[in-house]
Amino acid sequence: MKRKKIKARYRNFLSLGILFLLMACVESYDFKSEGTASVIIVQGFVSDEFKRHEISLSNSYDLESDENSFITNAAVSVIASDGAQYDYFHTENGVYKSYDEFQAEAGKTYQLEILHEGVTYLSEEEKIYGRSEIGEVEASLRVNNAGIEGIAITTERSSNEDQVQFFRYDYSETYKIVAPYSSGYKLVVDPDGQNASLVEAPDERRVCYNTEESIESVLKTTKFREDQTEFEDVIRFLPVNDLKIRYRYSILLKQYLISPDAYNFYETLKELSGSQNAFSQNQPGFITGNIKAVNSNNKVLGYFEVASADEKRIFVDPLEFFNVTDFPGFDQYCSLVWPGVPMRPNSPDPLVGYIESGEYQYVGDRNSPYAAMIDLPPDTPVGPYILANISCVDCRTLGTNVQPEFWIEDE
Amino acid sequence: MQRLLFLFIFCMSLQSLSAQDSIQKLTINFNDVPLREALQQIEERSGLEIFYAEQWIPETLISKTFEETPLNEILDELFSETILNYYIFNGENIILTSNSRIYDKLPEGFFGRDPQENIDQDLVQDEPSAAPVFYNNSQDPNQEIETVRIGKEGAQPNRRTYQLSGYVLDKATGEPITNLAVILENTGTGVSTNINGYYEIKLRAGENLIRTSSITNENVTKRVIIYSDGTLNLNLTESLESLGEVQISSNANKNVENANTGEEEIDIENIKNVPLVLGERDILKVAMTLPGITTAGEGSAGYNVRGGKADQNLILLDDAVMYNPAHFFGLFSAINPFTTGSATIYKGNIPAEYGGRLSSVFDLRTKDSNTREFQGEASIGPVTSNLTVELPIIKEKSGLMLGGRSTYSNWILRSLDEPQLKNSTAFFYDGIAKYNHEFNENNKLTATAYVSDDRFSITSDSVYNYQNRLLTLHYNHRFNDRNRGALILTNSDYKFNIDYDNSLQDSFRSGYHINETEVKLDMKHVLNSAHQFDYGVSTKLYQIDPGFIEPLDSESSINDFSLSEEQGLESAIWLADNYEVNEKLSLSAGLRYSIFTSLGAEQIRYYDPASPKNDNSVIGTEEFESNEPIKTYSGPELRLSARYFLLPDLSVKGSYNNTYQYIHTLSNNVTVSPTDTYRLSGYHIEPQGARQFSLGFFKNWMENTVETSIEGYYKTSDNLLDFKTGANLFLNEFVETEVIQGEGKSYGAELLIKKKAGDFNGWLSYTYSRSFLKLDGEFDEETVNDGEFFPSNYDKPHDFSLVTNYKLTQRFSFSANFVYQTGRPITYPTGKFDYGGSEYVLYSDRNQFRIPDYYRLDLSVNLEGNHKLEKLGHTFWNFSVYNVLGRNNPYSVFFVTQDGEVEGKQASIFSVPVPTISFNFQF
Repeated sequence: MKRKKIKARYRNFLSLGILFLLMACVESYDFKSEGTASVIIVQGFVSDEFKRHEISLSNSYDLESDENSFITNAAVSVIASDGAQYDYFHTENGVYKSYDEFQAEAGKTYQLEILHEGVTYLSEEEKIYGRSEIGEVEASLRVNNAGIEGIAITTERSSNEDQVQFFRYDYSETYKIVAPYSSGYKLVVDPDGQNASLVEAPDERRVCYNTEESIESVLKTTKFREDQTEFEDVIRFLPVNDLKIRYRYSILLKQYLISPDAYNFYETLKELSGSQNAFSQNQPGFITGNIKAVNSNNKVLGYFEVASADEKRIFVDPLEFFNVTDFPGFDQYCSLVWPGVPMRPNSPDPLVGYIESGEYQYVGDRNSPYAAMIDLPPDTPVGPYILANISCVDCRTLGTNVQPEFWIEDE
Repeated sequence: MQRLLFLFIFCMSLQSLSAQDSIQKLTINFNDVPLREALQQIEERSGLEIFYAEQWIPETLISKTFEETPLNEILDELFSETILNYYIFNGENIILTSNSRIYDKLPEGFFGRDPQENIDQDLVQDEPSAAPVFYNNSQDPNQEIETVRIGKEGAQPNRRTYQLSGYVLDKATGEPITNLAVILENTGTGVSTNINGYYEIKLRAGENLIRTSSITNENVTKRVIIYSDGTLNLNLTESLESLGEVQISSNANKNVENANTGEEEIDIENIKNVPLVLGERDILKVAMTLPGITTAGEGSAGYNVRGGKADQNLILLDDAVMYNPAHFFGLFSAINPFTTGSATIYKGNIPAEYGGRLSSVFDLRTKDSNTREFQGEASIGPVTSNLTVELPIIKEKSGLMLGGRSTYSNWILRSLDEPQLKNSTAFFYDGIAKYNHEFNENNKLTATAYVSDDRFSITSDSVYNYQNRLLTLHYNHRFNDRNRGALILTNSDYKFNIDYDNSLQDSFRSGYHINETEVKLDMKHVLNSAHQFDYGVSTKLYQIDPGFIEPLDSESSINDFSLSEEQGLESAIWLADNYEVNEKLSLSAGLRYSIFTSLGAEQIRYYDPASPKNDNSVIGTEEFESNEPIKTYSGPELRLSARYFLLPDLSVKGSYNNTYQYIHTLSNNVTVSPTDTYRLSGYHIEPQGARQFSLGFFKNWMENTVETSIEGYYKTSDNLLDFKTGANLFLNEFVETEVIQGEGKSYGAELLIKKKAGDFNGWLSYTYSRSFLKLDGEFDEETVNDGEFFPSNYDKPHDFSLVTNYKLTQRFSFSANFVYQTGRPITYPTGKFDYGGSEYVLYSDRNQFRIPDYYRLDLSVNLEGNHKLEKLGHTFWNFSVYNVLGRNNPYSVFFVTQDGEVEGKQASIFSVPVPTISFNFQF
């Protein structure tokens, strides 16, 4: 993996250097579709976890379009070298699930077969490349390249001396959210739509949890580290101003031991879309995976991956690394407003507009300490109530107030 | 004073024409006394007074004993080595004269002569004539013509003509000025100086006005009063203001006469007038304005000549190969403009002595140092400062030139608001030293050392560095008039390093290194005026460290790893005949045979031919020992070119040539990047080959001041190296698994109109050209665009350049450039797709679309200091504005996936006008 990282790194800085040094400018470019050659996109993945595995099928789509066109009518199956065949059925959005639970086993090879509109697509025969065992997952205080402090999530890995290994990591992050302001009340717009009135609000708005899945996999390799028995790889870095680490944070790290070819496929995908820049551009082209059409010239883009999986969850208390004052203050992400009074007797209360937008909610009255936090010109006619961003008074707009089952508040 | 005295004496002599009698005899002894003292002693002994002007008397020492010698004999003896004459006046005074002789009788025919006889006598040269030399002393006071007296009038009968000879040398460099006309004003006839600056001219006795005429040097007029055969050496200063015209005069009809097609010469001196970005004089950037030579874009290193790849140019600095002639990724070239003497680009027929690259040769030569006096030049621009000095070591024999440039562009980075860049650095320098030593006219040695270094650190954790180093020893020997040769030893070295240092345990240094050493013997033999042979032999050893990685500190968990060293031996022999068949037809026929062997140690993998080369298709391996030949390639290379004069100033030229190249860049970038590595041909990678036909018409107009040419070419090539999409080339032991070798095809027509002289000069070039690639491997992943020909990354059909300079006065000039080019092809996405929750773009056919066209106008004003000789130095100011129109020329269009969404981006480098001032000082 390292080699790719190196590449990406110097490419980046080359571009930056020239860009800024010489008044270069990069601006967005309006691109138009110049032709549509639809290509079948296959994401195939089977692991050694005993479960119902999934395969996704879709078509590529126009540049202007945002409509993903899923393939829902294909016959999908995975055939093992021992003759076992695992058939899949379409669930929704192009995702096919195996009817039965199964797992990839060492010593066997697996092949993906797709039949769609009379064309058969076959993958190469893939196998598990050893057993993935995730090492210690740790959080530590680090400084990133931009000089910003933050929490790095690392895995400790022991490399195999004989063989270069390739890993893919996915993760799922869960973090606690505490609404910075609480009042015990909220404003409700009256049925006539003219006024809003204060009602009691339960405390359930204060503490929530949110879970986010990683979008792109993180790729790592033991290349150039074959002789090292143990080393760390940074999988995730959260700068101190990331609100995910404002309170308690948890990450579930999934490690897949993948084949060199699969690694190269993902790398290429990433390279052609991510680290492209003005001055050293990789030659783009069609990315060939390990799936081909057998009885036609149709192009397929995708990879059928067979991998060994392992996972580990850790919890992080950011206060072990930072003081409360290190985090961004509430005022940096919460804004307060103090709506005025109606202009004329018959016009609706300005509060109504704020409340109906769903963006703001009651935080206190004119006698609350919030009043002092708002700078208004003298003699501004002010109403009775002060509002804040809704996310600052009701955390349910950011997550759920149901604590996840796996959540451990204190270790 | 001298003249007045002379006139006085002359009048006196006419008035008293009495005979010289009763000559005194003296016994006198001089022992190492100055002549002046000797004369004083004579005065004392003889009691005579001697009249003379002190400045006439040379500082010669006299050692002589006279015993009872008549005074006139003593004086004869004393003055024999001088230009002095004497006249003993009335036996009391001795009057000395310079050059002239005082006559005591009128010559025969003084009062008129038969005209017929006169004519006859004029026709008969060297006939003794009794006529004394008289000349008109009245002078036009406005005419500051120096009068020179040559020789001494003898008492014997004079000849009517005398021979004047001498050397004409350059005042500054001491080099002989050849082909300088020495013209006799009276008759308008003249002679020219030979290669040593020597001339001989017959002058009528007496006063003559001679004038020198040359475009390279100042023109002087001298009044020569000649009394006998003599010498007159002239030291002339270079006429700076007309330097641009030097080439016209010396190679006036080279454009039409040269038998070689596709040869371009860059007038180094004149490029200072060409407006260039950030005030950097740049020879290679000027080359871009010539037809057939392009670059993929502003800020892109590498040149594409006649549709060839950027790695197909042999860039030679004093015979040594320069691997990366770019600073700042191509925004500036690494060639020092102040030390460079000549730049010749061969893009058509490449002479047989050059080889190893398919497309072109950039033959850059450093000036010889001045061997007479210290000389220097300095310039200050916004990006770099430059200093060149020339130091004579042994007068008129050897000299050392030192040139250096360094950037101080860090301030540009520092002055930016971007916090990340405040800590970054960008730095480059280059330095050159050249020593030239002329043992005698047959033996000359030059030695050049060059180094260039670029260092960047944009992010705090990475330092990026690349370096060129060249060494040349060049020994020229002239065996005789017909045979001469050069023995050349060169060594070139190129390397880059990336230091990556962070707080994690993966700090490393990785890099690449290539070194080549070449010995070349280049001989010339002039058989007769029709045949001139070039022949020679060369051999070159390559040593490449294709890549390494090592931990940067003990904390790092990175292991040492390096690819095994690559070695190769490339040799060639050649013979070429420059054959003047007749007045109209001239041939340049060359044959080169090149042979390349890749050498171990290396592990070679054999692959199953029925499947693509990859780790799974290996069917065997073989270990080769160090220096063991692995694979040998060889082939003949024809270099044929002919010129035929249709009219005296119109010629047609045609050529065919083929070339082989055994070294390739590994790069899967669209354009050249400094991290591209060079690899040799070997077991799996075959040498590239190309064939080019070219035909052109060349015509000069207006007495060779305007040159025009139109040239067409058709070129095919094979085994061009390309790579599978997403190929991983960094530290890849088995590059063959990523390689596709394909065919190339290019053709074009080039038009050039050049006006080299006059107040308004410059050139216009237009090229229509196409360049295609075909990658049609056996397997799907080795096929691009269905195996059809597709436009290469540097295919720019229309390329128009206009470079003009208008001289308002000798000191003020204006320059303007205009450039128009078709936008280069890009690979455009044909769609999008989702993968793992992210959106990506789908590319299918390569290079089917183009970025918008490129055009740019640059203007500059040049102000030269005056040319007074006494002035300490010569100054030159240049004010220029690059991209006056502020055209936002896209350099590239690319697509990124950000936060799961695809975005198109367009990058341009100089999207606003860039004004620059630079100052240049010669001393």
